[in-house]
Amino acid sequence: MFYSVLFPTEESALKPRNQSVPDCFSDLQLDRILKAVLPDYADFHLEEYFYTPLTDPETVRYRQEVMEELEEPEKRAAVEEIIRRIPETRAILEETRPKLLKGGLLTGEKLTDNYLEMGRFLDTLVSYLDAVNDLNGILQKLDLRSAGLRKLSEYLTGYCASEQLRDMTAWRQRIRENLKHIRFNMLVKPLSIRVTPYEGQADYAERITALFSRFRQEESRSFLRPVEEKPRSERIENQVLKMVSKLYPAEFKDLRDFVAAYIDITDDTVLDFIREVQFYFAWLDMMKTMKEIGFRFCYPELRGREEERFALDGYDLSLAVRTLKPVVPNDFSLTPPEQILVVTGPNQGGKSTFARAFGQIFYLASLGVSVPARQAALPLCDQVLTHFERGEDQKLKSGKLEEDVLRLKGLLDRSTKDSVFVVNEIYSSTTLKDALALGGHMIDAITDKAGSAVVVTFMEELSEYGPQTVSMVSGVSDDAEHTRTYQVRRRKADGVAFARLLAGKYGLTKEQLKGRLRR
Amino acid sequence: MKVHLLLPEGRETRLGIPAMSRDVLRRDLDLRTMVQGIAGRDDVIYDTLMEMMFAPLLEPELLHWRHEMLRDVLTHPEETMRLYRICLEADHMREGRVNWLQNYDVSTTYQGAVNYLLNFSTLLRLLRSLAAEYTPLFKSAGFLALFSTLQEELSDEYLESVKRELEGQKLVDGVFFSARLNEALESVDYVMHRREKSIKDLNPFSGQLYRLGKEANDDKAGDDLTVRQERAINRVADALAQSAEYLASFFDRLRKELAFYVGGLRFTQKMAELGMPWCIPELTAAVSDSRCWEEMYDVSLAYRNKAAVVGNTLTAEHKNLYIVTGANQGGKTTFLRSFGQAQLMAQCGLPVGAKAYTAPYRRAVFTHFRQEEDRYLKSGKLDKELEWMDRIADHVQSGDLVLFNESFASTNEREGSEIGREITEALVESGVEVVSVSHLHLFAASFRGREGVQYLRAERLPGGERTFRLLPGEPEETAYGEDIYRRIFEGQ
Repeated sequence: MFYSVLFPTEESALKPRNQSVPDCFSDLQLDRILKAVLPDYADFHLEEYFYTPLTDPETVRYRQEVMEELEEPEKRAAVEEIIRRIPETRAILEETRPKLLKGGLLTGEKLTDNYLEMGRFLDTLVSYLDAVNDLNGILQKLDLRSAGLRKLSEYLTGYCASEQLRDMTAWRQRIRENLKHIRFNMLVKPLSIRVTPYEGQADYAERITALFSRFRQEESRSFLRPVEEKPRSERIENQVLKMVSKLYPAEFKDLRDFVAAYIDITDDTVLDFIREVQFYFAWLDMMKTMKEIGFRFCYPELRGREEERFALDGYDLSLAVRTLKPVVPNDFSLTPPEQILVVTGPNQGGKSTFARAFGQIFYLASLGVSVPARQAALPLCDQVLTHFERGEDQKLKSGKLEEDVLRLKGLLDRSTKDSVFVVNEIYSSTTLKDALALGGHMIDAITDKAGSAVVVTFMEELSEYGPQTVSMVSGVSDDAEHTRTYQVRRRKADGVAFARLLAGKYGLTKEQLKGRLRR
Repeated sequence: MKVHLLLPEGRETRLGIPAMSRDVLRRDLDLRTMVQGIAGRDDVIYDTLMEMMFAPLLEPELLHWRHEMLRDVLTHPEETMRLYRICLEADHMREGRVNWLQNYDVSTTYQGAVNYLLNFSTLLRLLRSLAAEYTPLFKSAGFLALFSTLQEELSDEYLESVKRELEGQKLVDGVFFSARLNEALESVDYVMHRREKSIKDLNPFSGQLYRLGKEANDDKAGDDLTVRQERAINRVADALAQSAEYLASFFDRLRKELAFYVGGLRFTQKMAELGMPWCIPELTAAVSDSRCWEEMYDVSLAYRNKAAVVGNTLTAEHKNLYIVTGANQGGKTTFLRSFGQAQLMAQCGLPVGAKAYTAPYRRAVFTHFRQEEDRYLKSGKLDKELEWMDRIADHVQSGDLVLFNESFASTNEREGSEIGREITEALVESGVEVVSVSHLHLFAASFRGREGVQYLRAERLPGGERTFRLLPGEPEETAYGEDIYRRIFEGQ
């Protein structure tokens, strides 16, 4: 039984969803990622799905499968092309149905004079039915793998096979043909409209264009004014339609009968699908753009709480969507009892970016979407708790320290063993002695109360705190060519200076340059 | 009716010099001064010359084609300028058009465009008659093709039909159009029709008539008929306005392409006036590594000084690296500029600032000039220099020309020389031609004995006086800063 493309069961779909932005969004810059993902999909109000991490692996895998399948261009194009034609079906039908019923269309002999309302209904209904039929046809042809799309396909097959739908198809075709043949002239004067049959008059605009096209050097810009193509006054448009209906009486009667016969034919499961599948499209759009620039994504493997977790070539997706330029990817891994990555290194070495990427990968994994990494395997996290130094506020030092500790306490109170911690440069405004003491307590508390964590700090001592900490250093350049910077690597914090051959950094040694010129 | 004065029909310009290099070339080779000098107040000449210099030709037959046209223009300056002035007039006529073209009211655009198009036909008639008159005078394929197109396309019948089609369609008599219904039963696809005499007054009993009664007071209803008319007129007004743009763009194009030759003409006239030589250059295959120039000078400097300037002469055979050393203010940068300018001018078909000039075709030109000190005060100057070199490396290819001026001197001599040497060697060994002005002795001396190197040195007379000429000569360890010091501080 198909229930929803986002949830495998009714039970999972009915769990409450967050309607407001989770706290970690601004620190992890997930808000910026959503800014790149959602604008084209604003009408569908998809935010709640991005605000709500999933807690059961089954639903995550259900979504991963659907998304991975929709990533195949032909499958996505097939589905999307069809449902893009009917974005607001539900809203329109809900609005027009009562108006038509009130107009007595169904019961009485008396004609409703609201042809426009009837037209709107017809239009919406027809594109909806076309879409459902086409969608069914396309899905049957595709070799579907994911449970979500397979079940949808089965559901649609049953729906489309119903007798009512089949009869309707033939009739609708006739209506469409009828409409296509209607063409009429209008002579519009300041206070009157005359409607007459069309008699094959030539298009004046085309004649003008033909006359002067010989001078054309390149495309001219368009001088079309933004004129509303919808009728300004529905009353007058209805008058025009009334006149047209007298020129074409049989066609207009057929139309009314059709609308009356099929007024209740839409289906909620299908309409829900149309909205929910946009969740995948929105994310895939961003992914496609980024992949074209060279960024990689993967669907993380879900692991148990006690297993090793890792990501290869993970990167800060918010930085990537903002700059659309390559960012240096980094690996991380934690094998229990390892639990906390402690990142030290020079400023501008990519520490914060690394920490954000860490948090993003965990958070996004819990939505069932792809994550910014080449490969990843993680336990599902219930929340990402973040504590970033607020750059701007220059409070009294004592005040700030107290605030830092308070905030940390608040986070720890909410934490579970499934929570992920991201801590960035706290205690940086206090004395080293204080910071070290507090830092140690923090490591203890995270070890005790949380799951995986990353701690960015200037305190190199924390990196060798215990078996649960792993030292990572930023600003590292491994390769002999010194071409890459901003790498964060697992290694002992030894305060090694940032030194390299300048020319090599720009790819300008003789050998490098000759290599570049060999193209 | 395309204009093909810059390239024969069917030929396209290639991408030319990479965009990243263009602004820098303008600055480093002082192209602005040169082109400004040639163009005067005419922006079109300015833009065209700049654009053409950045789109060097690589095919001998195209260059020959342009040279033929240039010779026509140099032989018939009066006639060329008459054609050019018609384009200026067309441009002048356009000035008022913004009023109706940008007008929000569709019917204003409609009426404005009709009037404009009618006025333009006069200019077209004049252009056609000049084409007929000049056909026997000009020899180049490009001009003859233009003249024949003009005579064919602007026949009397054509100009008459323009008039006929545009006249007699006043909007005050009502707007006549047809429409269809979309699937939502809205009337759409308004197509305006010409109202021929026969239907000017439709039979009052045909079709259906709706008269607006008291609902006219309703805002929307009152507005509806006007909007309906605008919807119908919209496409026609667009077609008219686009036609006006086509006409304007035709004259624009004609002016722009003529402007190139007018620029060449002005250049030769001005140089003759200053007593400076010029020539139509000769280009040899890109694989060639020989060059020859006689009295080649910095054209921008001539425009800047409005006077004759010093030129250089050399025949260099089988060289791909020029190292220029010697006294400060001895004419090294000026030489480097003249070298780059001549290459760009020659390769677009312009005359060159030299008595004679032979050079190979170059796909692109890049410059790496050390900039004024204050530009890099903040962060590492060497970093900036390498950054720019890195960008050049992204684009440079075998068969290109790179000009260096005091590059990599923003660090100590040993380091700068080493970086410079590696980069220079890599370029030259990859088939790139390099001219490098440098006071880094270690760098300059490191190419001694190497094949294909031409050393040049700023000439200094025994008394320390400069001639601003460069002569073949290996680098000398001493610089001439002393001279300048003495001249400035001791007035010698």
